[in-house]
Amino acid sequence: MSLQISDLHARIVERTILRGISLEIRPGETHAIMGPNGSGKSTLSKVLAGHPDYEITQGSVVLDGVSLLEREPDERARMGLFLAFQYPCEIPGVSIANFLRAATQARLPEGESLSVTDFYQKLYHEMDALGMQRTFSSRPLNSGFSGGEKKRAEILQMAMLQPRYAVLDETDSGLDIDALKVVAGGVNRLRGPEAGLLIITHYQRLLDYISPDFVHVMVAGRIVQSGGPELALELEKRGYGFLEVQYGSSELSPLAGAGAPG
Amino acid sequence: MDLNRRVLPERYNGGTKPALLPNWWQELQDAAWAEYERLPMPSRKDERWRFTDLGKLAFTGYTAGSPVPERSRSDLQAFFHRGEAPALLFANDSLLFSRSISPEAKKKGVLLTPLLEAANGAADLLKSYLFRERVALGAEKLETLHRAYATAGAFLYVPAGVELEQTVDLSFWLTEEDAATFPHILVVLEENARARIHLRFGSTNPKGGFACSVQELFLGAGAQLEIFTGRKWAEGTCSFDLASVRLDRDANATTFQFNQGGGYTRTESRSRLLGSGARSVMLSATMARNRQEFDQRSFQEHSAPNTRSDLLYKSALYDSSRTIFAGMIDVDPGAQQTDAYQSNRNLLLSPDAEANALPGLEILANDVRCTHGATIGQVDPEELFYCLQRGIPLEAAQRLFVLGFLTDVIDRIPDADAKRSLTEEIDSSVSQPRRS
Repeated sequence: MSLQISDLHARIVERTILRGISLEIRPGETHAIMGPNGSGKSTLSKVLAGHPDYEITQGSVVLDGVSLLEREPDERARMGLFLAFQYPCEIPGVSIANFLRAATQARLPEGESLSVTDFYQKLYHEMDALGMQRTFSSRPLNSGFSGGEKKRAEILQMAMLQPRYAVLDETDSGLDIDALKVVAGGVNRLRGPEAGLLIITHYQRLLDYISPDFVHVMVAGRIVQSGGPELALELEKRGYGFLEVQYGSSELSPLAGAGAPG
Repeated sequence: MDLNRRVLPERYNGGTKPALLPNWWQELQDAAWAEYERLPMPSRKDERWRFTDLGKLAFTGYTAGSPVPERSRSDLQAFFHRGEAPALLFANDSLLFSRSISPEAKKKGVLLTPLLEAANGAADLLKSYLFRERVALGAEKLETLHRAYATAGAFLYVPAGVELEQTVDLSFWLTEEDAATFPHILVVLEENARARIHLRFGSTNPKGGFACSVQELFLGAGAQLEIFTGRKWAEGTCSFDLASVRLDRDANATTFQFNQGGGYTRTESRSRLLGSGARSVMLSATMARNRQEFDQRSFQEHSAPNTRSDLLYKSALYDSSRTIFAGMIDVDPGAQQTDAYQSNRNLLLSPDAEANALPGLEILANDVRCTHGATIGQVDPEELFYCLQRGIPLEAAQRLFVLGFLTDVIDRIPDADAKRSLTEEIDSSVSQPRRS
């Protein structure tokens, strides 16, 4: 049982971004991926979720024994993969509650319909636990939301959908300390023996609140170092510069340029 | 048209009562028939038929006054008895069921009656309004055909100062694919009167049929009317619904149409703002599927100063469906301080769907505020990916987009019950829970 990424290569148009990622996340583990801008962190999250803009050129991803890459994005999600987006989309006219109802309904066996009472009970329970106003759930999803509200809505969705593996793509970016605590609280509530987490972040700050079991450093489409939480602290102190000199940066790497072969 | 002239349904009012068409009405029909034969068929050369797929218009092979089979009758009876409102239900132009208005409303002089009964019982009142209006946004030939045939329909009359609290339910059905129906809705609200109508067009048969209805709505000074029209004809039905609302000083009309089903559906809606302070809100939500075509034409006629009109038509298009919106805001030289708005928005859910928008303005006054606009858009792929990532299958995601898209027009329905029932209806009609 794990989310197993093996030698994953991916590109967008003619530009190769991932150049051989291998990583295994077991339920109960929390992994953090750190790295400079342009290193491919967000691409990894989108490739896992099945974004149509990316082409997989090599490697595999296996979720609890089932190969993921041939599956449609919605199937992957129902298999238990959740992505908290760095830039969540606005869904005009659709309330958070209605959106989550559709997502919850989609997880029920065919022919079964959702109990609306049970749904709202659970929704309000989760909202209370995350310290959110209940009126929040009747607002159109992400429409006119502040950055912090968008990230809170992501965390609420994650709490409701109880994924087996959750990938959080820079969920901490642009958050003030209060929003950051809500996000961290939501993540920590999901942690447990049943859930595996992959936290993508540029800064060490979020890791003050969510202490990871493993920290990986990604540079120019590869994981170049892995270690424990102390690695994050070291990066915070030294910055990414020394790693980019050693392993190449998006600017320095000849592979990062447009038109470079995969 | 293979229709016999001057048809009277044989089983009018359940077959118990012979219907008589008075002479003045017969003369009207004769004149209409002569005019119908003289008027040209719709043509693409006529601007008012621009973009229409004339191949979808079918005028032949229908019979007026088809008998209603027992099975359809019992289906409709079951439908009818779910309601409690005052109501008239017609099928193939025969009146099948009716429920009268409350005794209190009757006492106040409110009249809700089939047209044919009004022709006998309230002839003078009926004659002063029936067939007085012309919608004339292109379908004059059909409007004339309607005059030559229409006998089925409802007459609602609300005297000055009276508010009819109960919603009136009117429904018109086709039970056979070769049946034709010519519903007529005549509403007269005297000064400061108020009424609310739920009008429904539908089929008990799975395909085909022909419908040509006319709505004549007269609002006296300060009168208020809400009329909610739901169309759900069987696949392949060719239908025309031509409506004119006439508003005197300070009158206020809200018309809402919810369109689905059918083969070719043409709606013509004219708002005539004839008195200062009058206001007309024209709303439409359409869900077009398969090869359906919805051809909507509108006219906002500002003839008096300080009048307001506000039109919002939205369409969601699936499959190979088509929509046409052609609207005109017309402001007379004397209609200063007009405030007119016209907006048509289309959401394409399929690469084969086609939306056509022709918004228009003709302003002859110099102190007015008129805005119009049209948009045709598709689902944003990033929004779709976001929904998919939450495990929502493509069809359910599209359903969310359609519901979200139609939200702002639905939110503008003033009556809470009508709004709730519409939301449920849209919800069930877009719901096709299926796993990919």
